[in-house]
Amino acid sequence: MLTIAGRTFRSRLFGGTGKFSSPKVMKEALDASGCEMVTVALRRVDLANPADDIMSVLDRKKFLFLPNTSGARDAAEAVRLARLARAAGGGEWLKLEVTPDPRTLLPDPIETLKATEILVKEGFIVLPYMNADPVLALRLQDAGAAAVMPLGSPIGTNQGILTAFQIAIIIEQARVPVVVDAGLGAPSHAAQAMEMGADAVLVNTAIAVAGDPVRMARAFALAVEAGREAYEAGLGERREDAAASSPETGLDFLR
Amino acid sequence: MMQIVCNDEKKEIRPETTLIAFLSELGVKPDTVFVECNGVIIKRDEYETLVLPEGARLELIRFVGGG
Repeated sequence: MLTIAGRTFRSRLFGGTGKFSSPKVMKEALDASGCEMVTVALRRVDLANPADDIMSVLDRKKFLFLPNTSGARDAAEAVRLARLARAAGGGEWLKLEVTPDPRTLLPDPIETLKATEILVKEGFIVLPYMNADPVLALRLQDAGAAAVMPLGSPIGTNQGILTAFQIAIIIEQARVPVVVDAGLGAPSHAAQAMEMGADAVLVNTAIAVAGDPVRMARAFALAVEAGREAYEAGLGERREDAAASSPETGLDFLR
Repeated sequence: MMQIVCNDEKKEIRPETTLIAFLSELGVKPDTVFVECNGVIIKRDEYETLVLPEGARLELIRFVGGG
């Protein structure tokens, strides 16, 4: 079982709550995914639609809310969002996200480290979204991050794991759980991350924008389970030359 | 009447309006939002007692879908 900051999770798939076509579809998809932790964002109430509260469909006993700091462009904004999330009853858990460039949404490593240091001191359980940088992963871990969340590819791109080499090093070195977050566009991408030994994956866009989000959520759950099972089973070694699967002896009768 | 600012919109309220009364006039369920008043986060158990001061700057924030 996966443990982060003393809490255990049966499912190694974490879900997102953005981009779903309706609260009903979101709820059904998250139920089908089996995930126990979901990210949520913080935004101003739309005064033109004040009753529009999509989060009320989710059972807070079933899903641990992981508020994110999406939209923060520097450490100060992220810290302010984090404090607001906690005050709002979001708890201590936090997906720290500092993305100054709206085009790439790549995380700012320096501001992310700064914010991690501040928020850990304030008692937050910080899961920083980060570029797949093994050195940064260790720095964030030393700063007290409860897990690290390296990206497979930029947020919402569905491009899969373009950072496999670096993620493998992060997994090898990290003492905290490694959650591959962002860019996983197909169940096979999630299975790949899990086969590599990632502790969990976080998927939002690929499920939310699928033709049938409920079935896609199930597909991701199966892929995560398959990938984890394969990792625990121990994959065979890769080799350059072919190695026959059938016996190479006992062919005398042919010759 | 007096003026406050809520999420950057000017609003007219009667003097002695409490936060909870203001939220109810807006059609916002109090347990779905949280509130900053002049930069200070208001605790839930203060919604009924907090009287909005003239010129108050309110921020109403809530959890929304996100990744």
